[in-house]
Amino acid sequence: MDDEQETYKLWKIRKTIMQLCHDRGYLVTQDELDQTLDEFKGQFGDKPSERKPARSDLIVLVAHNDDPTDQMFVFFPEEPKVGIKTIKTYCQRMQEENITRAIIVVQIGMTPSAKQSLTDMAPKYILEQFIESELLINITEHMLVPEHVVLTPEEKAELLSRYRLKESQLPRIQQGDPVSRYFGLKRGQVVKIIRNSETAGRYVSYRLVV
Amino acid sequence: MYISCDAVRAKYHLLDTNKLQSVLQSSAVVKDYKFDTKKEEWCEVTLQFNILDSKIDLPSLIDLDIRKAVVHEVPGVTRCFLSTQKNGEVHLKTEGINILEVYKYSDFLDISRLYSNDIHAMAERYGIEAAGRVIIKEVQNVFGAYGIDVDYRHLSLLADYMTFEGSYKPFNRVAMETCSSPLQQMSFETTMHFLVNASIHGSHDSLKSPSAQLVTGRLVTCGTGSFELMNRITV
Repeated sequence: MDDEQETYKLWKIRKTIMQLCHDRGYLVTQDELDQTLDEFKGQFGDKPSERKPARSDLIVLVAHNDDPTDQMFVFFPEEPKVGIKTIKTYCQRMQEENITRAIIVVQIGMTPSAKQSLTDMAPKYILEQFIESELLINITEHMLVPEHVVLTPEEKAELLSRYRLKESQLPRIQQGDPVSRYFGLKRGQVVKIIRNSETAGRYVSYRLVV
Repeated sequence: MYISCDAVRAKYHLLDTNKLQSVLQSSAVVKDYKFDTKKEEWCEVTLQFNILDSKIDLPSLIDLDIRKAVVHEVPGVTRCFLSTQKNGEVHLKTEGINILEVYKYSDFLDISRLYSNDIHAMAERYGIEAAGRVIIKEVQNVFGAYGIDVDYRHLSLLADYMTFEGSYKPFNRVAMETCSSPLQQMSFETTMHFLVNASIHGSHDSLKSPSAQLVTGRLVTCGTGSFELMNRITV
């Protein structure tokens, strides 16, 4: 792949990651969200084949809006298929900086043992895996994907008591659902879904993560 | 004899620097080779055969070769064509689906309006809510072909039911197996099958589902059936 295409790809991926962090409630500046291709080239370079930028230059560290100690890493490993060794170095770095959440953006995939190590480390360290090709676009911008809002535990309790519902009566959304992965949802959380409706204008629905 | 053909171009496209030489050396029958040096859009090959030889059916040979030569392919997509809509928009339609491949062309395709009638593919890539929208649209299309207009409320109820469990669940007797009300299962299809199963497992029905309430002659607990009126009696 030539440099031009590769730079375009990296710019797109980083942009989606920034939007993802913003939508999860992490502090991202407006400049970073609106970064154009030329600005990206200016900041990181435009020769990926000569490691300008190298994938490791793209690393992101964001802090949460409400609680600055709650931070999240976004790693971009160099190797196409990520092994357990890379995961270990990332984990050490997270331990040193006392950060419990991270996203790993892999180029092609992960070895089975590396995947296993991710589940082994939960729930102390939460590492999520995304593939580059799926981050080329932001799925929440699609016309068929309605607005999803993650509820806080208090809001969830209020919802259940207001409608006198048991958790099991709510519609469900899978943890592996693309939108749940985008927001990094955990089992038991509830999302509020604001749909456009032909008959009602706007229609609010809720889904429980299972 | 002169031929000018795309397949031959594709085959010799890779031979770059010594293109002419290698083409001439590739076979004894090739006598001359000319090609478009700027855009590489055409080439001309001169073939020479002995007059005494038996006849050679060149078109059919080329036809065979064309089938083997792959110029460009996208896994999962077999055909694609452009269609112009009534409002003048141009849509790219494909036979088969490969959503990740399409993402690479986000600079000139409007990806936010990508649509597929493959509900599983949409659920996998855009989530269960988007799949629900697709269900509505597809059912509308099926009925629309016969000029039948189904009220949106019925369709959204159907889509909500089919996506209730977070995955795309078919609306048939197989999916009915996961239903908790035996009477609702029985009233759907294959009554004996569900009746036998319910008897074997000793299942019970809480009579909360609308079907079960109708079966037993009760009021369905929705709309005006969801409450009762009590008169104040003064003694």
